[in-house]
This record gives sequence, C-alpha cells and structure tokens, in this order.
Amino acid sequence: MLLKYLSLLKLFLVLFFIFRLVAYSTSTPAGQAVQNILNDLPGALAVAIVDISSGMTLASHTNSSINPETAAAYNTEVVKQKQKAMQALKLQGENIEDILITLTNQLHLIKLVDDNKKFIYLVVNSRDTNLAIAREVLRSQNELLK
Amino acid sequence: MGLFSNLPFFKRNAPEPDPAPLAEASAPEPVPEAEATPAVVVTPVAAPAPASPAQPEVSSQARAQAEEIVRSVVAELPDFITVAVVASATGQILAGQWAGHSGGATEVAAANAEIVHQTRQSMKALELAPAEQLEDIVVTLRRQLHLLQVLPQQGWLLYLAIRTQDTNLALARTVLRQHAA
Repeated sequence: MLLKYLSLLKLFLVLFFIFRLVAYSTSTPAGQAVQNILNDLPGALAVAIVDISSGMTLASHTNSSINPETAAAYNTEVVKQKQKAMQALKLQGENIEDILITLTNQLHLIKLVDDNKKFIYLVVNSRDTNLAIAREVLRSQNELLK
Repeated sequence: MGLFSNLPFFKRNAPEPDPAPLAEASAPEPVPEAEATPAVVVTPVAAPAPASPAQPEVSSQARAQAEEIVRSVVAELPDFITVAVVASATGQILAGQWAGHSGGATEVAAANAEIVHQTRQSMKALELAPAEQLEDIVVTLRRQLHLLQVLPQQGWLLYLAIRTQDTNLALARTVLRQHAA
C-alpha cells in the first residue's frame, strides 16, 4: 500500500519537474525557436520567448534557478523603459535591436523580434558562451518568429 | 515614475504667485559645468531636474570628478553622440557632452537610471547569487549603440551613445570599463 503511494508520488514528482523545466511545445514557432536555441547552446541557463504587450512567455526553458516567467515580466519593463527613452530622444528611423545586460558571471540578452512585438530572452554563463556567439544564435531565430 | 518626478511644474506653480521669472532664474544654475564645456549644445531649458527640492546637493568635487570622466571618454572616443555621467539613484546629470541633438537630455538620463533600477529589481526577483553584480547594459539600435556602464564606487552611471559606423562595441566597452575599475 505504502509502496504504491510512493511510486505514485514519484510519478507526480517526475511530471512536475518535466513540466516545470520544459514549458514549451515544439509545434509552435516559439517552442521551435526555444528548441533551436537550446540545440545551439546546450549550456544556456534560461531561454524564453516573450510577448511584449503582456509580458508573458510564449515558450520557455530553464537549466538553472532562474525563473523565466519572472525574468520575462521584469525585462518587458526594461524594454518599455528604453523605448520611452528613445521617444524622449526623438530618434527617427531607429528601433531597438537588442539589449545586453552584463553581470559578473552571466550575460542576459534581450533580442527584439517580430516588429518589436516579442523578444527572445537568453541567459548564458559568460565563461561558456561569448556575446558574439549568443547574438548569432538569436539572430538566426529571427525569421522563425515573424 | 522616475521620469516625471523630475518635472515639478505643477508643484512650483501652485504656491508661488509669480512662477515664470522664478523658474527662469533658477533654471540655468543647476548644470553650470556642463554648459561651460566647449563642444556642448546642452540646453539647460530641459533641466528642471536639479530645481526639484528632492534632489540632493552634489558636491563640486563630485562634479569635477564626473567632468573628468566625461572628458577622458571624449578624448578616447571622439566620434561620440552623447557622453554623460548620471547619478544612478536620482537620474540627475552630473556632467555631459552632447555632439548632436540635446533635446530631452534630462528625460533620457532619468530613463536610463530607471532602466538600471529596473534591471536591479529583476536581479533581485530572480534571486541570483549575491556575487552577481550588474556591470553594464548595452542597447543596440539599428545605427547606434547605447552603453550604460555602472561605476560602482560612486554609484554613478556612465552613459555613452555612439554610431555603429564610427566605433565598435568592443572598443566602446573597453574604454568604459577603464573607468569602472
């Protein structure tokens, strides 16, 4: 009896972890993009495709303690703030391509796609991946997310 | 919120009987150093920020140091669009040079401080390791690069805008990092 419960509990735990880590399906373009990025950068700490108007993730994956949903919500504000700054500058014919945040050991990259309607959020360890590689990988997903 | 807290028009207008000449008299006084630099087109009109009572006084020593940082960045990257040192807590401009348009300089400074604030909030929410500190933020536009380097010692931001055709990212970052050490 107890054993049966234990195995059930195990099953729940396994399911919980699968759904916590892999919050995407590859049948959507966003899920496909996440999959492609992870294929190119298996060591990525977190990846998310985020809808800017709502700040919600369309697809995400994490290999660390970083919660991509939380990160998405905050980073949407960063993007909006920068757009406000650009309005103040009255820059014409310019739009934000990407935003790079350098921390001591991590790189956080926000790449705007689909006419500034979405962004790809990528966190990598700066020892494993350099900025040029990370940017190239994100750029290659541009077409897919249009 | 950080953006509009610097615009105390309404507050000023209410208690004072003759607000227009007062505002004019107090407007030019806040950023004297920035105006004095030769290559600059800084418009003090757009600077009601230091007139706000919430802004703390900045010592002339700090201003001189900020001036010095701006001057040395300009010397190394002569093709700049904007170089400015901004107090990261208030968004106040301590020193700056504008090569092109200077419209909305204070708004941009405040917005940039807000971006850094927002990023720090997000780092807090993500519960990153305490050793993770914000170093810089780079915004790539189609033809421009905007860099925000944190100067941790003074609690300032070094803001640099350049054209991608003139200067590359690696070079700009190298120059800015020298000042963060």
